[in-house]
Amino acid sequence: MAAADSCDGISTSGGGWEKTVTLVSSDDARFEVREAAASLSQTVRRMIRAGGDGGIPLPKVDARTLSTVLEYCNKHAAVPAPAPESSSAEAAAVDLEWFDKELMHVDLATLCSLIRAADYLEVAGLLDLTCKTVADMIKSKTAEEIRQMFGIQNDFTPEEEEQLSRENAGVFE
Amino acid sequence: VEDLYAATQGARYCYSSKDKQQERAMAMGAEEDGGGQEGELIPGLPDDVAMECLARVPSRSHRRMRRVCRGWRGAVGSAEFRRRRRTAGAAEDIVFLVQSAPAGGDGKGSTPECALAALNLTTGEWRRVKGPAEAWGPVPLFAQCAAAGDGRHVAVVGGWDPDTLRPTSDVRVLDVPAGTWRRGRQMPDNRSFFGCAGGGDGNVYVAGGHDESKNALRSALAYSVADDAWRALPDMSEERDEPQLVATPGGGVLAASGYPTEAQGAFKKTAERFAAGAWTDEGDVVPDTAETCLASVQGKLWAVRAGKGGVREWDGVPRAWRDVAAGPPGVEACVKAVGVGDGDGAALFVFGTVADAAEGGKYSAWVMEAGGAPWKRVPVPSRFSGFVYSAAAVRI
Repeated sequence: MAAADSCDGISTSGGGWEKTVTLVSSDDARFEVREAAASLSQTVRRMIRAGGDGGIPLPKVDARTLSTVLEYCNKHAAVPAPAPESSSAEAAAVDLEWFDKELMHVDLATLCSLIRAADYLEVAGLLDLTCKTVADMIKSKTAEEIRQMFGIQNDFTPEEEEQLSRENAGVFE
Repeated sequence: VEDLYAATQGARYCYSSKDKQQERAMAMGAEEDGGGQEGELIPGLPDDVAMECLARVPSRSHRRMRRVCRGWRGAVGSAEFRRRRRTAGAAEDIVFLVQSAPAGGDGKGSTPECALAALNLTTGEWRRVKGPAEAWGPVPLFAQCAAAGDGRHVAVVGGWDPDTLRPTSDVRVLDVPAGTWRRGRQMPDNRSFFGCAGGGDGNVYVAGGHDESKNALRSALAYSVADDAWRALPDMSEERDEPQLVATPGGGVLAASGYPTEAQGAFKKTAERFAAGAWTDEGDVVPDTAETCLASVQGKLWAVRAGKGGVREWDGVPRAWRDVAAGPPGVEACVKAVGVGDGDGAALFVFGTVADAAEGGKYSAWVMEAGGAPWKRVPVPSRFSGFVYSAAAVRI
């Protein structure tokens, strides 16, 4: 299997044999992952295709972050696509939603690491989830609270501040 | 909460290639509203992904976001921000309605009033849009509204001055995301009951109606929202008083129905299309002229009326209407229809009277996703239960 040169092993899961790949974090931790899960990362998928041995190096992601990313990938890759509108599809969607919600119970620094990792690894679903989580943190805060949360400097001059305070509210604000 | 629903959440997040990301990053440098992008929008995140976070915040928080710092202000005002909201499926569809407002005061012999209402289809919220300033007076009676097609501006054009009951040529332009108004250049003539629609090309088209001597008009005009300038278009082939205008793909409009001076109220079935500088006859397009509302949905011409087979799509090749769905459930008569959004999330919005008025107001609204989803009823609060003269939709 030329396309699977970097696959280090075969393991059983759910009664069938599944190909696995080994991912290596920036701090040299090795993760053996089902190829189907790892392939949720477009970056990894490309590297699998390119081949190579000794595992796939991911120099931009540390072990702690990578393990969370892989937790996400394992969960999401495990879900087969059932017929839409069936009750099992609905149950699976609810389960995934819960899983995602739990996964996002992290502090801001961890969340930012996850976003950078999801961006670098190109895990579209995780990038969407993490960005939405940040958006949720922003949406109910005042400008000052947003600055404090992210450590952003207020660089408006007093004149600009004055002008901003007179600005119209949007239609739905 | 039953009132809340998501009408147009069809668009799924779609991750583009690294090349695309670079393209987008470069586009950010060329944004229209200034505001540098050099600093980090969110410390610890590349600006590209920080923009992805910002783009997912609901519109009701955008004003607060604009006040965080210069970087955020520039980001939230940028075309790139709007583009990413759409890609992320985070954009919200707002429907604007020029409608008669419940009369104030004692209601005795008072002149009717019009107001601009906004419905956020994504959240189900209704709002009365405040006017630009008191000096401008209320929204003119029977004014027309149209979306500029830039995902940002709505123009309110013409109508009658509520005090003098004379036609006005006023133009007001609302910047929807910013919530600010500006006065637009006045329409070159004082016409009443013209058709009006955004062409999707940054122009608001005006055609037909009647002049101050009640002569039905063949003339047509286009207003460029970006240039704040009017230009005359060639005359239509027929006089069309009270025509319906709808956008056609590729920029341009279809002017349909209306009646000539000599046959007041005898609505025609014909339509003509303006594109590439000229009007082209489309023949007898309009079915059941009196009770049909036309709308542009996903770039296609749709007709809506009550009952079975009430929603139809025009197929230009066999020149025939194709049944799409039944009219909205419980509708007595359609008052106004407008296409909402585009692409996968496109939908048809209908405002109409209800047969079972006993259960609430005289009016209701409905929305149906273009992909063939069932109708959803949109509750109309009593404050917004007034006849609709004009509708426009903007995705923000």
